[in-house]
Amino acid sequence: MTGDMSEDTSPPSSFEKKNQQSRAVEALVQDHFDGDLEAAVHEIRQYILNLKGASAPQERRAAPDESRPILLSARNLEKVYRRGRQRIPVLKGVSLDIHEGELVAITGASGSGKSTLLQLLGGLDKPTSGEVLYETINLAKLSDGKLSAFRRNTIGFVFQFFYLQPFLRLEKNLEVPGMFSRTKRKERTGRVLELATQVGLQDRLRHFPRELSGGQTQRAAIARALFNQPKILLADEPTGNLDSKSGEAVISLFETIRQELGTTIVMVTHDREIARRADRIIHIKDGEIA
Amino acid sequence: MIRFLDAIVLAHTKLRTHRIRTGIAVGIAGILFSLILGVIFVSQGVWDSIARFSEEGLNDRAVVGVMQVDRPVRVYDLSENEQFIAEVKQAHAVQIAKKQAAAKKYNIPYSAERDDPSPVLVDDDTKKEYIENLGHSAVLAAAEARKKPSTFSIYDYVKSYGPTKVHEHNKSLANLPSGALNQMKDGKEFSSETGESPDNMNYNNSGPRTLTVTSQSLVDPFINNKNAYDPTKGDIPMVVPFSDAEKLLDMEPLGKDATLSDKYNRLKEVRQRVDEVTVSFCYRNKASQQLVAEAKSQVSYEKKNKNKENYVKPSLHYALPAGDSCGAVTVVSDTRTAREKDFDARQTAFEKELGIYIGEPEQHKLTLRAVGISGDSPSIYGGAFDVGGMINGLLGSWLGYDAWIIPSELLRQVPETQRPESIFGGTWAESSINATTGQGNAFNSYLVEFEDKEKARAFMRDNSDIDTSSPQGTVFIQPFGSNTLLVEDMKGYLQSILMWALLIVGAVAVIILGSIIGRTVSEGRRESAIFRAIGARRADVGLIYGTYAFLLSLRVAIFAATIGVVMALVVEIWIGKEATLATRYAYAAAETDATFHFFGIFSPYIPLVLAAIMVFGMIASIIPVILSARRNPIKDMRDDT
Repeated sequence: MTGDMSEDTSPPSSFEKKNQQSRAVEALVQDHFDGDLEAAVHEIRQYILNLKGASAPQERRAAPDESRPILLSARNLEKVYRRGRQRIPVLKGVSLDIHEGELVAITGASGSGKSTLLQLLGGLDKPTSGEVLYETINLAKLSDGKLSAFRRNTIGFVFQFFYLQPFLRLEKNLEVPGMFSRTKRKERTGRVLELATQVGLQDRLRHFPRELSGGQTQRAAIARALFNQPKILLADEPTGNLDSKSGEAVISLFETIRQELGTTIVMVTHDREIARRADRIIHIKDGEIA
Repeated sequence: MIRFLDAIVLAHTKLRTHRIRTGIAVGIAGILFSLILGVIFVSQGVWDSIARFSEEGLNDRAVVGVMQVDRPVRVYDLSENEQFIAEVKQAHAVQIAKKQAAAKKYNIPYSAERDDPSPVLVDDDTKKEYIENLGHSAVLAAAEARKKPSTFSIYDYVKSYGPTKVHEHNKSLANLPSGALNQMKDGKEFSSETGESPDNMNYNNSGPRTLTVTSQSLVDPFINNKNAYDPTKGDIPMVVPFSDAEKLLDMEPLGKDATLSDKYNRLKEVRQRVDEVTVSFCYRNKASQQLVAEAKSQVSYEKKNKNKENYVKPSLHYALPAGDSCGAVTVVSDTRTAREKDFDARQTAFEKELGIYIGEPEQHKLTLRAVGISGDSPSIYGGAFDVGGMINGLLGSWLGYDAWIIPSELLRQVPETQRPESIFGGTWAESSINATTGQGNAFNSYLVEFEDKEKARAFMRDNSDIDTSSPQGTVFIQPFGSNTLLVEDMKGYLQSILMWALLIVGAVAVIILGSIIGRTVSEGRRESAIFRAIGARRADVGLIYGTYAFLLSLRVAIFAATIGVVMALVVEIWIGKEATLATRYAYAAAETDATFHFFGIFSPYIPLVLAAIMVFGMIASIIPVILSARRNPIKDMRDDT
């Protein structure tokens, strides 16, 4: 996958190509040696699919659009987890800027620290060192209440496994962020209808999550994330649990949201095709921006 | 913070997610609490029923029986006491001197050695003196002289318990000092021809254990045909226990397999026919008893010997009165010589001088007529686990144990000639002398009525310890007329039992609910993390789980209350009807429409227990909820990503 970031566009020889593929597969397996075989297989499959489509030269911007103001930035972010006496550095001095209205993809192997980076950007966790700035606000210095308010009002989270409440109808599921922001019931109802229409689920509001397809469920999760009209949408593997058609629909929805609402979107993904749809790809390898 | 209604919506999803777990928790905790609630529903039904029946009999009165017994002089402990032996000898010497003087005065042959041997003997081995005959009159006289006068005053005894009324009429006609009152079985005292008494003639064996004149106000609740009774006809009014009335009406007792319905119908029949219940008593003073004994002896002797050649009629020949008359013994013939008559006259003068003359014969026939019936005392009923027995023990109202009661005011309306002074007159305390041991026990029995039941209970509580060494003598106290005085105590005991049970069940429930809630919270970490990600504060997560615990507890409370109600209704359906009959049967005195139920909901303990369930549930949730709220959402989210 390091080839993703390469600027060299001349095609490699057949031997080199096979050798590269073999090393990459080895690296992937090594990455997932700790036990997540399913994820490894998924990554390998994704890698092979990418290889098949890699014959054409790829265009992507690695630099941000400097004309837009910076909304979210990370400065020398370090995150160390502890497992007993063992220190596990996950992020090693990551710095980046997310500009307003950008659609940024964060890619990297499993365990590379991309999800941790997303969580730090969303104020779900605090860095071991370094800082995350939302505009000029240092998230690490916010109290739990203020951080909750930040997440509630500024950030929308979308997860790979959707996490809708199984025993709540879709209309109630979409309302949940509104419950935490004490939005009035009438207002919530109107907002739910508006969001459901936006994601094409207006006729599914009385359904339970189990009655929706994977794509519909993720669209519902996106709608839920948009309830409080966040400035930033953080999506962790939003298409990881969907087939390619549904994944395509989700990413199209992101694009629409960005265009219509001006929402800044940062998504973590394994999927090269999905990542390619972003304005910018930030690749994380071993806790650093590669 | 999240609104409570929204917290309910989210918390409710957890109950739906873990249906089996929730069902088990609600089931186990609910059943435990339902046992307590069931007992409360049933006991409230019982208390309500007691209240409905509280107007019956003496149940709304606070009457306590007080019996005081003087400190005895235990002569058997003194049989070798030198001081007491000296006192006995002194008393014996005084008796002999008196008799010798009187014998000399009336020329009666008297030998102290022959007629009055000393009760004091000398042990052959130890050469020590001891009292051989503890029942000797000199021993009793010495014991009586030693007896310290009682300092007991019923009025002083009860005065600190507020205004009280000591009922003056509580006089037993057993052990009359002047004579004896015998029930005339089948209207007969004895056979006029043979002098033989019917079986069980003495009323102490066949009739009431006591025949007592009692204050009218205490008897009034049991009188149900006051208007039909005419005191001028001379019959003595009485209230008899139901079972005795049944026997006196010659009704065949119902078999053991009789239903309560049968018994209740029998009770109604007896109540309707109560004025037909009459019984005759014969009073004879000691002189009359002695004459009857002499006449019977002569009849018997004559029957055996009249055909013999050497049979000689007694010089003073008596005839028995008619067996159903309770009349005087008559003299058939008096063939005594002038000397014999003179001796008899001197003997009478001698006895009068010594104060041992038993007087002129006196006898009276009394006809007692029932004016009402009282409940049987609890001993009449079967085992303690019999519904009727339990209810009667708890709620029945009766006048003493198997006592036949004569109401004082109605008695006063009977012509004086029909209520002789020798039986009903005077004021005396019951007393008895145990001839065998020589104990000189005197006891006084009182009925004390208190202003309210609380004061009566306080009096009973304060004086329940029996102190045999008190200079006041020994005082025994027990409720009179009904056991309702004890009902409040029973309530108290039940309350403390319920409280303990509630705490124990609560502790068990906290463990059950705590583990269930803890597990649910633990499994819901990822979900909590999602909530945190979409803006929930720690407090929001805490409130959602707190609400979950609240809803879970609410389900436990509803389930427990439902099962408790079902349990009480089962008891109600099972024995409610029987209990109503049993209670009406226990309140034998009057017809009542009141019903007995084993289901009552207006107990202050119901909301208390329901609140306790909620509190226990919330307590059980505290630790898991606090731990959950404190967790880092990322850690929980990372578990899955």
